[in-house]
Amino acid sequence: MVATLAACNDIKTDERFIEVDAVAPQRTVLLVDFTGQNCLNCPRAHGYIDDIVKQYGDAFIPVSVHGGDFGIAVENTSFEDNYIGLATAKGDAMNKEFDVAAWPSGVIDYKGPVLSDADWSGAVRDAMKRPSEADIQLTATLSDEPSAQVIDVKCTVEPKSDFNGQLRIWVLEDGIVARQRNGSKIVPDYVHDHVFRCSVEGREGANIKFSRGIHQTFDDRIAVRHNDHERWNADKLSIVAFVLGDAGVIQAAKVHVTTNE
Amino acid sequence: MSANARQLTFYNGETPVENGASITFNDVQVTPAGANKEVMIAPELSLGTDTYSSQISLVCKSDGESVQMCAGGACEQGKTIKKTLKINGGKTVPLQFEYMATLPKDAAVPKIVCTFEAQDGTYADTKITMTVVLNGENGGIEAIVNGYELYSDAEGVHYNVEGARQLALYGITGMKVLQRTVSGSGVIATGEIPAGIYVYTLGNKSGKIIVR
Repeated sequence: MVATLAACNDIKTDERFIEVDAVAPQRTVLLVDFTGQNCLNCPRAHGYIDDIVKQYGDAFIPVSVHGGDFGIAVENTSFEDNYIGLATAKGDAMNKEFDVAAWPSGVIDYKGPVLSDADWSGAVRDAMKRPSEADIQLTATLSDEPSAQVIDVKCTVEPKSDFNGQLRIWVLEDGIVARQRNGSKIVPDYVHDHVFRCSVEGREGANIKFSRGIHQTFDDRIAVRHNDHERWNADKLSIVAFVLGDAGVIQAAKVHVTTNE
Repeated sequence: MSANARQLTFYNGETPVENGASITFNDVQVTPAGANKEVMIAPELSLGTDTYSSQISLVCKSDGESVQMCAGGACEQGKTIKKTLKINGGKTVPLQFEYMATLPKDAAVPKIVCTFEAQDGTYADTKITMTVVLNGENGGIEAIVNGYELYSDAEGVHYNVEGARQLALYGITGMKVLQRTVSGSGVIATGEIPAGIYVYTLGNKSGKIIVR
């Protein structure tokens, strides 16, 4: 018997990939990216997010939640030393809520399982196919008050069916220049985008009954933070609103904060 | 047809690490952070194989502080970190192993001893180990002398030698301040030796050591 060998493909096992065609989005999909400034491989995940944004545009909302073992706490910020932390107590709490043990990781539509960044693209694609049970209209306007700048948020939920859910309103900021580990390097002027800054606490945990065809509008006021630990850039802020049901996010929306002119 | 060697090797930079060896890192990077400091000890370690495997187990255990390791994938932190790696034949994967912590500005950086163990699947004869010592600021200069060990910390000058060896310490003026025959493991308490920089001889080896 003569053994013969067929030619083997030269593509390395870790470089093989299957390109997945984008689907027509049926809804807006939320990704929570659990990340950290001291996480060596988190910039790789940020690159995956950029790729998904290019595919789906406004139908995809990424939120980078800093916290956990590799986060730099906002309390450790020293503007004097140009050492800026992005991890909030709420970010840490979300890491604990999903029992995150490795970074980068993420959840789609605020529902487990926690996924490796390599799995995000396929999971987002699957989530895009699910029809939505609601639409959301969202505005966010900045105005100057005597003590601080404030953001007035108006969120109208337009249910297509009856369901119970919670409304979450988050503040995100783009373009934050702060240190980030990238492999063996420390990048002192890394640009952080879609960073979770805060959640409107009064909304957390409050169950709302939504009825088909009956619109409900929610108003919130959020102070722009400028203190020793956090200095938000009002020009780069966005508001994300989502309705959370038992099976995860029912619908989400995002809008940039505009000035009231 | 020849059998695959199926051999794993740890690397310190480009240099293979002998199975069971102990290596030390003294380089601490410090970043000011207000009332705190961020410290990092980041040796460049990697693991290689001569034969492709997707089942290479890698375990890192710290004797005290939490450390972190990513090994090309998701990063984890803890006192014990376990990874299963896929490595192509003839290639290496960086361990991305570090100690990183935010400490009060005047806090001492701890000394951390980590043991690494790697094995290719169920091939028990591929198992390799190494010990990595992250010296922090508590240690002086740790000297590895042909498998002998001599280092100094707040407790004193520690030795770990096979057989009996003559240990001598000389001050910067050349004056001998200590001479003792040592064997096995032990420590010469700090109170016996004033703090300072000394030249040591241990058997037929010599070097420099800081006593705190």
